[in-house]
Amino acid sequence: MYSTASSETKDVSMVDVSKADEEGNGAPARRKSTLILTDDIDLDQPNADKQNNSNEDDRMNIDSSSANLTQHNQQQQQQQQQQQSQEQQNQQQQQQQTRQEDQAPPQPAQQPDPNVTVPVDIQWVQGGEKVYVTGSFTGWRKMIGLVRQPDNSFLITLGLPLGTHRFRFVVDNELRFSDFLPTATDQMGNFVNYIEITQENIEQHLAQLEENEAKQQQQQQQQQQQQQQQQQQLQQPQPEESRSRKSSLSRNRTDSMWGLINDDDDMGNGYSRYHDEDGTPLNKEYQYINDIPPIFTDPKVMEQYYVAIDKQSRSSNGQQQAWLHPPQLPPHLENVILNNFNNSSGENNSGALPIPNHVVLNHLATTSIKHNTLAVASIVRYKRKYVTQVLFSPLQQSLQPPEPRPQ
Amino acid sequence: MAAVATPNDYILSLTREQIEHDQKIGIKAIRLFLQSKTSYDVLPVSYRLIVLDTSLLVKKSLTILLQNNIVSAPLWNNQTSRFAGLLTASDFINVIQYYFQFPEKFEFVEQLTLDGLRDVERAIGCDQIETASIHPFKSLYEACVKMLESKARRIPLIDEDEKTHREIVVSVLTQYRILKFVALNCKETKMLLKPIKDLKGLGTIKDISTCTLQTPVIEVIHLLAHKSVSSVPIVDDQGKLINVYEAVDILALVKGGMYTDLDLSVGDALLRRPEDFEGVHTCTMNDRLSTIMDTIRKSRLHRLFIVDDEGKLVSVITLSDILNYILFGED
Repeated sequence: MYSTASSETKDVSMVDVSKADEEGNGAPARRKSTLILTDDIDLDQPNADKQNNSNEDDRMNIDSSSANLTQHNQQQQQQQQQQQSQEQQNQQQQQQQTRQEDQAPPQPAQQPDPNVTVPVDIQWVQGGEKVYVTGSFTGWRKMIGLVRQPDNSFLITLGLPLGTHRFRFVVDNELRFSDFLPTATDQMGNFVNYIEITQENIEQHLAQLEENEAKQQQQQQQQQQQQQQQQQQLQQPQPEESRSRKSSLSRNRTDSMWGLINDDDDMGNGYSRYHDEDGTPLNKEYQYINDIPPIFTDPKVMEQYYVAIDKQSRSSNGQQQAWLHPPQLPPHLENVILNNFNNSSGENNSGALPIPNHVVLNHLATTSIKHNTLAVASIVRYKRKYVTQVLFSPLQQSLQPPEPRPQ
Repeated sequence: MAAVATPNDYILSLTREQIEHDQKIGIKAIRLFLQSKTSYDVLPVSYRLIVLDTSLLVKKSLTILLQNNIVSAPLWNNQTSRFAGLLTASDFINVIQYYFQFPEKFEFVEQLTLDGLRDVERAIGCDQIETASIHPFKSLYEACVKMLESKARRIPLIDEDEKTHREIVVSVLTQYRILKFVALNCKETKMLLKPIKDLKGLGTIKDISTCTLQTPVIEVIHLLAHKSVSSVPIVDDQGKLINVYEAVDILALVKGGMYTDLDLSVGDALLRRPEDFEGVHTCTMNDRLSTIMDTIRKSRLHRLFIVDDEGKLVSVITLSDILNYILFGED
């Protein structure tokens, strides 16, 4: 009905395909942001022209580069020349691998496993003797006991998978909701607390686990891998520039990951989303620089870069200069939640919709003009909720014939 | 509780005084709940709101309502950039009445816009489009009071845009949604064990207009308009309740701007009703508000007809009656 999306899809289509939405009725979590973020990785690895090129690689990149950057600067510079030829070989191997990956059908396995869970603290601070939590994560059947803390609050850490989880507390045999957690009315009209586990949460969690492992075992490998990346970025001996570019990239990326989540964390009025706070990647030390990488300022470097990625896209059988043409629509705008609205469902009489991805807010969606009537829709925030307003209006019945509208 | 076999036995074991006492406490608790929650709390995290521009033709707006499976929508005046009231089934009743009075104005009715509805309503001397509204952060209690005062079955939630200071329509709450919210979130509804026949306003027998399957639908429409009710029960010759004609059924009747089928009988008009009709809900004088609230929680209903043991129509309980009792009863 609304433009840009296939009409056969259900709610789940708002979710990244790889994430099996276990409770079909749960509102999907933030979806595409991860994919969008991988865009800047595509610059690093132009031969990897599929977006779903494994996220795991991305994570490794960040970790290794940011963690070891400062230590290995000197070494790298020295080793760079020697290793160059070797690195190119490595790179070719990697290209082959990537090509194989590309030929294989897109596998959900490349995305983080949908069964991955993130530890989340659920806390009850409003008194009582026996406190349990029950929710969509147990199918509302089981009650999970919370442990009394020294400060008379109650706490339990649950491993929750991707998605929006609705829950309520059972305090001394009474069903209650916490005033200190985000509340909402679900599609059935129940007043519940909710928590969202986003792709970013999971990635952070995984990245953390991997990081701990990697730190112990793979320092040597990381070193090599990092240099490999730098080789890939610019196939020319410009260690300073490439390094600074990489660092700025990875920093931006991590920043924006955090930016997204920080934005969501603060839901106003003292409500915030819960995270696993221990040892988050925030503790990492980053190196900040003041110079703009020459790739953005020096036309020669820029040209060399373009030549390099063009060569690579050709060698990987990619369409010639395909990278020059941006997609017609940013991929995250392709899903319009209104298209997933189930009109006929008698349950949904409050007009409830899935929670929209924040990047589609304040965009205008339209229908094609039918019977001289145009419908435009936009999703805006209203306090902590999202209103998808659809306005139906007639075409202006002016004296001049209406101008043909560009499709 | 352990000594008691079934919940019903438990209720029967209670004394009159206990039930009376529980009822009072329950109502008080629900009232406090309504005062502590805002209209905003009832809204889902993400939801759809359909708004109609007042320059739309009335018949187009009808199509839009039917397509989207809704029975009312807030209106937006793009000249003044202001909220312009609600479009409801009663507006279509008004148009039908106007057309019935002035059949020669067929062309005019055909080209009538939502803006022009006001003039039509003035011409037949009836109520304006409902315009009472409330801020989403006012308590549900206030919203209920406003609805009862204006005799509206729904109330638009209006806020002001922070930047432009213009009105924004946030959503529309219906009596049903508020009562369902109460039924879902207030366990005190289980304490309302007094039989309906003892409740003021609910158990009192009201004078209700009825019709039969053979009554022409236009007469039923007149009844809906003049008595300002939302439905007319259909009874057989023994006075047994067999169906109901609701104001929202008119949307299906005049679908596509067809005002020519007004001489149909009610029975034939009901054939146009969509298949997902929720059914007619009934209760007896011995039912309790606790079970009624439970029914509201489970199914979408807008009134309950009180019938006797033989299924004969006795009276009716509307959602406003229930709200009115919760807000002002037991004092």
